[in-house]
Amino acid sequence: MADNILKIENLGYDYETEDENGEVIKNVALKDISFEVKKGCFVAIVGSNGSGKSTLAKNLNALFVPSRGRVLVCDMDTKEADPIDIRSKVGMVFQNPDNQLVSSVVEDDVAFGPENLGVDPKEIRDRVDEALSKVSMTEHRKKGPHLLSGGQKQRIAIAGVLAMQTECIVFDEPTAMLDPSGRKEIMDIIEELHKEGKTVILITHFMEEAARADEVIVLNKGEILFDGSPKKLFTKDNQELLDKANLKMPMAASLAAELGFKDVVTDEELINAALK
Amino acid sequence: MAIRDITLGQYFPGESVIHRLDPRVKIIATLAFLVSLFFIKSFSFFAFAAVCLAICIKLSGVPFKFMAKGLKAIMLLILLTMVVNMLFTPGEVVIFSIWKITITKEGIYRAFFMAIRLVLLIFGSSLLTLTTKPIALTDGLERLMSPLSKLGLPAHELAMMMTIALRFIPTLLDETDKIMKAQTARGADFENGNLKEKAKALIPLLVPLFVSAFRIASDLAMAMEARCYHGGSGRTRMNEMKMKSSDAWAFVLLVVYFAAIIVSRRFDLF
Repeated sequence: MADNILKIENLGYDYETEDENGEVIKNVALKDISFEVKKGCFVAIVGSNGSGKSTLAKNLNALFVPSRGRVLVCDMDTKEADPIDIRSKVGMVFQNPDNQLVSSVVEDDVAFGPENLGVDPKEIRDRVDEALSKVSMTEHRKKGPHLLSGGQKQRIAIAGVLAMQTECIVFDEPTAMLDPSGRKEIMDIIEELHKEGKTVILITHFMEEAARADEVIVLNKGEILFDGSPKKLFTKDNQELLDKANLKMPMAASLAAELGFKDVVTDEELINAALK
Repeated sequence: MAIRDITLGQYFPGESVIHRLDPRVKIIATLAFLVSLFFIKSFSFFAFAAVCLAICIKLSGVPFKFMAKGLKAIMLLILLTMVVNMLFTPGEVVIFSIWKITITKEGIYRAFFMAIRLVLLIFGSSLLTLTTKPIALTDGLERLMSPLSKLGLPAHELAMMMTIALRFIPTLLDETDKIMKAQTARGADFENGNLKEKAKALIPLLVPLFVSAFRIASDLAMAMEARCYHGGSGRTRMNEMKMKSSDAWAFVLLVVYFAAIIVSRRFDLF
């Protein structure tokens, strides 16, 4: 199945800690997770704190390897393949904008990924320029990251992954530490990338962000509670499921349900429906 | 936030010939200059070295005031060296002696000799750090040391550590600022008290700072791995360093200078 970028089969993951007596305690973080991600898809993974969504994200590019089951990235098993091959297919943007930039010059930081991959210097230059213009940060390319805002730093982190030209980008709560304007900037870039055909996996606890995806996976205590389109998820019938996962409907969706609009989950859809 | 505005290192921004030289050339030239100072036997060639350095400083456009700043910190060391040399250099020509202290002509000669050498050492090395960005300096060092990596010297790793340290100085300063404010809000007092009390007050600052530094390190390690970092092997660099004609000329001048110093040892000039 060539059009599947990611294939997760019965994935389970345990954190192991030792107690005072030196005995290993297993904390099960993920149980029996299975799903597939097709090329060009925009998948949101939602869940409350401790639901295992970040653990799942780190299993997708061999930062963690499964305790049970397997993860296939472009048909490569993350347990067996070279992690470098996996990570050059699936890039990742992390939550904390401060702790993921390596260099004290913006453009050198964007170049870090391709440099590690051994790309030709002239091509790195082109890729860096292109990636920076895509996140509209070209004018800041010579600055130090500590002079930028949180949203700008996060844009640099995205540019760093874009320059690696991965098939798929996993965003692990990229907006959690940003202010509303920074959050909007990042979400706009994510949607733009999806429109250009990149496969996007967004881990988030903001339902408004999840509503903009093609597919939503709801995690609760390490298990999948729901897997389907946001329009199917955010309906009155699923209120019980959402309560169980400790999640709230997006405002637009709950308002639309009150007003009797069907298939409305995002703000834009609500405005369009209201104007009709 | 004032704490954000600190300049890293002592880089003096500029676009002069010296600024634009390849960092490798600058590092080698500085090393050669420092070594040459130990070859010099006479004051006249100190004057020659000083004039050469002065020309470089003039070309770099760094104000003399900036240079002198570095001198201030070690003024005490220079004075101490002068005094010690004056007192303990054995010599024939006694200028004067009080009690057990004898000042000889050789002693005074040596004292000034050492002082000039120290001043030139400081000026020479600060010209390098003033005209080269810390990041370029790290890059240059990595490339100069890379032949040594065959002998087991971890050139790339050392340079990477320096790069990361430079990158995280402002982040950790921010963090310090945050923790300090949080602890002050809970009644911690960092300003009053004697030295012992002040040192004690730092504990609630340093412990959380260490914890957060380790957290940052583990986050960063994961982010670097996610971006395919696997050490120095098979890595390319976006900015290739290319020697320009100005670098070649700098090298020629350096060789001429060094030759002059070596030759000077053959003559007994004052």
